[in-house]
Amino acid sequence: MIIEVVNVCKRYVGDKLTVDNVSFSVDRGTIYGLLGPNGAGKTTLMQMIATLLKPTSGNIYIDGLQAPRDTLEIHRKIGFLTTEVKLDPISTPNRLYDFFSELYDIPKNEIKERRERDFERFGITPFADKRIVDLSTGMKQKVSIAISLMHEPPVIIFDEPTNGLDILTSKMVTDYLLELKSQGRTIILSTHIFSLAESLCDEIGILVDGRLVTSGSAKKLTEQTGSANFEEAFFKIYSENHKE
Amino acid sequence: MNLRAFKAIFLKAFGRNGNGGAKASATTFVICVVFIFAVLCSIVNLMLSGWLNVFNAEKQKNILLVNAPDSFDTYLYQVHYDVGKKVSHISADSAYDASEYNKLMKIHEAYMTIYFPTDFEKTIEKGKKAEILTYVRNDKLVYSEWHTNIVNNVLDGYQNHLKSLYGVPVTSDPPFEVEIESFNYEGSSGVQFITNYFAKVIVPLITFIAMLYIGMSKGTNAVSGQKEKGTFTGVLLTPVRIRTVISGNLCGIWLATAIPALVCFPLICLMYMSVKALLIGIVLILTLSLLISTLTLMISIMNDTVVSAQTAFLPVFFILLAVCITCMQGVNDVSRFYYWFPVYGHFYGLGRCLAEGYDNAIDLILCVLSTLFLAMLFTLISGVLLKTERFTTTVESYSDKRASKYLRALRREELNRSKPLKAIIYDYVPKKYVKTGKLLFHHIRYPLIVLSVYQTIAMIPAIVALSKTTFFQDMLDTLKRLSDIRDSLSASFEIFSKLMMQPVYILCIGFGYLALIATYFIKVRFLEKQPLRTCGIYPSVKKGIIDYLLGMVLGIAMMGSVFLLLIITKRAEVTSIGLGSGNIKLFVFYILMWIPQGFSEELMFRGYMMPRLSPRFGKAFAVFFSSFLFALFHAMNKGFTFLALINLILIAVAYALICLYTDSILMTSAAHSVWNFAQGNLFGLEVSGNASAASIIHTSYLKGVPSYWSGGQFGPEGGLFVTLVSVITIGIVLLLLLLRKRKRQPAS
Repeated sequence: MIIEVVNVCKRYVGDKLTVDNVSFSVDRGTIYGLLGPNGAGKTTLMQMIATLLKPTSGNIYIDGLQAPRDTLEIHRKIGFLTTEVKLDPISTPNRLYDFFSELYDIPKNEIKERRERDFERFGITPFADKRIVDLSTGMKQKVSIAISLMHEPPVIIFDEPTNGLDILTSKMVTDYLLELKSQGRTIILSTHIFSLAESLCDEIGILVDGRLVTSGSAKKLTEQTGSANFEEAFFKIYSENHKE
Repeated sequence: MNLRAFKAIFLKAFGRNGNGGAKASATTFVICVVFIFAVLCSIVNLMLSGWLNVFNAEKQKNILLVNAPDSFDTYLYQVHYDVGKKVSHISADSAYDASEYNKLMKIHEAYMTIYFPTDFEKTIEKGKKAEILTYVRNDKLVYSEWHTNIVNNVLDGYQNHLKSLYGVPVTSDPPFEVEIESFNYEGSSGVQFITNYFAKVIVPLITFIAMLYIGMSKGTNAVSGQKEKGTFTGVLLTPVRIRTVISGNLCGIWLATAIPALVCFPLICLMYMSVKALLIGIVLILTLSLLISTLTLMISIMNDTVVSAQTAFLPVFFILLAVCITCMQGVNDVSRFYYWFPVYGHFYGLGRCLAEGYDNAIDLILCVLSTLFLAMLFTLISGVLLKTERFTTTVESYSDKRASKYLRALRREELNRSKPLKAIIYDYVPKKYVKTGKLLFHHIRYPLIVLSVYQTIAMIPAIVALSKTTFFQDMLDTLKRLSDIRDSLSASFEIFSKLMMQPVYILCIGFGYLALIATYFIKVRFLEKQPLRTCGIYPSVKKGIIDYLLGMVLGIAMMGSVFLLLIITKRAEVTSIGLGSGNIKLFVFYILMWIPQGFSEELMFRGYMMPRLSPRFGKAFAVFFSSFLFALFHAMNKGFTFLALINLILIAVAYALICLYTDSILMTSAAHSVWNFAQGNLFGLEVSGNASAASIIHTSYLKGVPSYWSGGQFGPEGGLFVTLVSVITIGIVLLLLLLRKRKRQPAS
């Protein structure tokens, strides 16, 4: 178990729980998907796992570490990707990579080598000295991935990985996720796209109104609900659990 | 401390690498322009007085003679007639009291002093050698030229004059010697003034402006700029401690803020040739820039966008503007404890180390310590804030937040719209929803602005017309005597009571009230797009005329009963009857003025305000609120007391109830006009603090009548009889209202 979420609740204002007593765990080297409609609490849960938010109650362990005591250690172990985390539009991929490699404390003699390798991997090299603002959305996402994962973290937290990307870049991203998985990394991703969840994830947790109502592989969930396909299974589960 | 991360963050905050530079908001720009304008005005102001001094310096052409013997006088007037015209004689014992001579030379407009010892003539008579001392001011080169001329011509000639006087050979030794002292003239004049001024005002001011501007642009970009662009979360996710993030950013801002001043200050010190000033100045600059950068960093952390951070920085701008301007005015006379505070200590300290030499180490240490304390406090707060998730990450993006805010506003609007209107007066139904606070504020502000604008405008033609009369001269004399607030209040009452006797002024304020009525009509008709009916003006002419006539009867009845009560109870007596022939013009103008005056006040409070408040708050609130404001608007009048406040509220409530009963303001505006007329011009009493000027009956209070009966300077409206009459009126009108309600109920 590399990620353990135990009875986590999150309340912003008032009485409403945005995340309501969620517990699950993720095995090393697997992909866990959080599936739910907008506003189900996916992003909040992901940000809590990434230590950006504090749970109102409950515990989150990453490789046995717990925030806020081990925040820095956790930061070394995770890579967090989201559409909210953006890149400085005036800067260039090269400069940003160097800046963050200082913050991640990557050995000085390795920086250049790693940068060239990562940029080559994503095809960023021709754009390495262009300003971020001039890059296409897909290229920005690639730069963002390259920078967020430069410290080669064992755990990758990916909030809406293909949101706003064209099909080619989406394909590139999903392929990369599978490659990361094959390297033995653990990935937790949130999405509202069934096909993505079905094709990528080893286990899927379904979030409805902040509660984790069920979890299991796509196949298992389909069988459980007696549905023809995963999409139908999701809607069944959703309508059973959603309260107006 | 992670030094690599610190260095990277520091360089990012310091340089423009990847930063868009400051995006100054329009407000900040306007504030900057106002700031610079204010600064320029102050500089011109100070320079003017300074330059006058510089030019005056040429005029210090006198010579001050101390203990001059008669022989010198006769010699001067006989031989050097020109010089003799410019001398001033004094006697003094001390030859070396510099500060005393400083003052004396200033008083006598002298550029040099010739000091004779008291026993000068006796010494020479005895054949001994005497000594003469001359002082010369050194603040202008020409003074020493003139001085040399005097020593070579006048004093040399005097040597020979003395020789011939005492019959000694011309070839013998001179009978006295001249000792020349260069006089360090204290005070602002000439070159010294300019250098002093430059050091004490210009240098600190430019340092402040530069630091504030750079601190703001760097500081607001550092964190809130990154938050706005969404890049800050990336930094927070790296294995770097919060304190490294803060210290890195802080050092970057600090250095950027301090560098321009650190470069320029040594150059200025070169002009003043002072190494000590350089060292102290650097300490002051470093601490001041640290304070500014911690403050901007804290503000930056609190805000999500550059514009909001800069807007939040505005109060700081205002405070520092105020501090700079107060500092500029007091640079020559600083209390010592000012040196101990941040900002004050820096402004005065920078000037002090250049102009006077900063001699007191304790002052400097206290200033540095207090600044460091504040800076540390700000940094600690920044640290706490950055650990709070509200200031680090937001699930909602900026545009989402704005959208949800807008939705909330819409929901609130719908909610309020669904609420029933509480009570309707004069058929007024509001066309759009206004927030409660805004609605109340509008009804306080609007009459205040309109009234003060027209009253001020009305004064202008009156004062122009009166500018050649003795009245105007009297007014100026009164204004010149002002020393404190109480003085100026009583002076303004005095001026007003004099103005109230001027027919021109009465006519002008009459027109002012007409304009006010027109303004309200335009507002209702064209801005609110409501009929005039909604401010209590009944469309039927016949009913209107009847109401107005009844109102006149009511007004005279109310005021008349107050007057009769005063006479019957022997609290006042009629002294004489009859209008002086000189007062007829004033009397007519008063009548012309009271008509729009009564109408405008009724229109403002009972006609406009009351129906616009009652749909939201109900009739009772509308009546009381408008009455309370009506009373408060009279609070600036002379002799206002608590009883007067109560009375005015009661009168206003009585009028408001009459308005509700008659469904228009015409009756009360007639009553209001006649009430004032009867009070001031019929019975000769004060009208809300304004003494009557032209009256048919002249009344005076009997001696020993306490002011709660008579109302004192405020007139009967400050006395208990008005309370009685208005309470009775309220009772009658309430009864009428209730009766009507009962009559209508069975029908419906």
